[in-house]
Amino acid sequence: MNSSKRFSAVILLLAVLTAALAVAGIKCGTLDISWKTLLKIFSSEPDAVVVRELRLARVLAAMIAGASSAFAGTVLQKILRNTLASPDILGISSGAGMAGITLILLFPSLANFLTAGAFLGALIAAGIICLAAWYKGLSPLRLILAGVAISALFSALTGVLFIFHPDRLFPVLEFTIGGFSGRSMQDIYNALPAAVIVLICGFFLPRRVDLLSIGDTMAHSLGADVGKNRLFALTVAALAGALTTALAGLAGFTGLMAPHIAGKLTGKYTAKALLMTAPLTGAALMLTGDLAGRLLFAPREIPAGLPLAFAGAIFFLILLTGKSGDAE
Amino acid sequence: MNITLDNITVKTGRKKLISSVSALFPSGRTTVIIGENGSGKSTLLKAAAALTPAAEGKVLYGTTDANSIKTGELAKIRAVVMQNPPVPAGLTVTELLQLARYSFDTGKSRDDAAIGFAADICGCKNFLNRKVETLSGGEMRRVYLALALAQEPETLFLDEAEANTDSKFQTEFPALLQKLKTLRPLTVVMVTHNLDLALKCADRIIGMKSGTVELSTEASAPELQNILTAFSGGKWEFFKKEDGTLRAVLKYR
Repeated sequence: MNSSKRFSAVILLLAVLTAALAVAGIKCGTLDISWKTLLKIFSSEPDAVVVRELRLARVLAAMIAGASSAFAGTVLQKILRNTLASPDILGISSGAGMAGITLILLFPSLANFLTAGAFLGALIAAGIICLAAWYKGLSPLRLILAGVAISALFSALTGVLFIFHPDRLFPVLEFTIGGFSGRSMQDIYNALPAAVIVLICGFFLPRRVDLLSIGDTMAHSLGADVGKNRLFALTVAALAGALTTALAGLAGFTGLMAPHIAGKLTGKYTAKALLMTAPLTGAALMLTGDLAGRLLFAPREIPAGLPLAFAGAIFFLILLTGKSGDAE
Repeated sequence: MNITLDNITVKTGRKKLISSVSALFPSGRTTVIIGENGSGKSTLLKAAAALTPAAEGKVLYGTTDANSIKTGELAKIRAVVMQNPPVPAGLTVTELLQLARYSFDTGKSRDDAAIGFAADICGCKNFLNRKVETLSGGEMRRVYLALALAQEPETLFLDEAEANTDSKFQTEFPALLQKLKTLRPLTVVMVTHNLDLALKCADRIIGMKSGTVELSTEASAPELQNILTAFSGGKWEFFKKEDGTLRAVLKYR
């Protein structure tokens, strides 16, 4: 099978898989939804409204969060020239997380502004990282180091907030582990503008981001405005990361795993290819995490972040065993 | 297009890497820059390629200040082959070569033609579908040379492009350059440690020491052997081949 046929086949498969997982996500759980109710999901019947708020919202949240996490991971891995980069490792997720947790703990009445708050937190974190890392330009290594430092800082600050609000520990804990319980359709509507912006900006990224992956000097000599392109890509990745955090809390690993899995499946690693395949993979991953969380210990529900963390651990082990086979 | 360096100084922080350097890289000719590590030759190359800004002085492309030319426009007139650029993860040779046309809006068939031609000349045709990270050193160097040529530049800058590659690539390198020059008018500016390669390829030779130009000579100059012996501090031994061309051999201790 030639490479473009394989590519189309994989995309089709991923799309079908994601759709199937979405349907399963709506149908299955402590309460099984019948096919009849499912087909009327967009009507104004009271049953339908309940299903929408309880199930559709979390399924959509998982898809959007998975896709945007994968998007951010793909972009970051390219521009930082590091295949282990992800929005979690850089301060982007923790900045968004810190903002989210601050909102939950200190301003619970402003819960509707979680997306906006998370985005602000992610941008502030990304801004601090860029400032900390800037020395005659932004080098990938400095960005990674600054990201890890800021990440640790925000985690520590979050811990401090924890200590002072022990009564609100559980919702914060849920947010930290990451998951989709309690997502409402309002959350989805709040997230849409950001999602559309990320989608549109995504069309301007592929070649710019591929160029950055062959080094600043080469990108410069091929005519790219390296500083501007990297800043643009970082900002869009930060927005995507913030979107993920607003919808999924600090559920991790998807942004890291999705680009790798997508690349392995299609064999194509250009930014253009990955920005199509990784978000689909990410959506499927988070849908699976959510479903697993609801079904594994039914009728108890564990947050999606936990099955995802297990998957992440297995993923790394597979990476490890793969590497030992290579002559490095 | 002649490239002129007019009294340029390049600094890093407050330290001067090259100081008050003037040089001419004549259009259509091959100028080779030689010198020890730390002599400033790569800095000179990068300044001439307008990749590093000069703190003082001017770099002129023809009569235009190179720093006033937009990055995208520069990419259409000059190309650079560096020594060890980062290898893109997962990209095939073809996918990498397509990046060469980033600054061009010439359309797919024209782009493909330029890439195909460059890949052909550099001997990359057999591994176009392989991932760059799986290539040998020599193969990778050919790919990066093709990447530069796919820009269809007037001027080619080579920073020790022959170093750290297999002997097959090294022995074929001068002939490859020669072939390129017959196909299109090409100005070549080359940095190398290898005096023998310099003698084989150069029309002009510039020697750098401690950030300044120590020697600047035509390769056809009769006293070339003496000049180079003095410059290289006796590390190279020179001899004349039957056809009269001067060659050099490294004197191992």
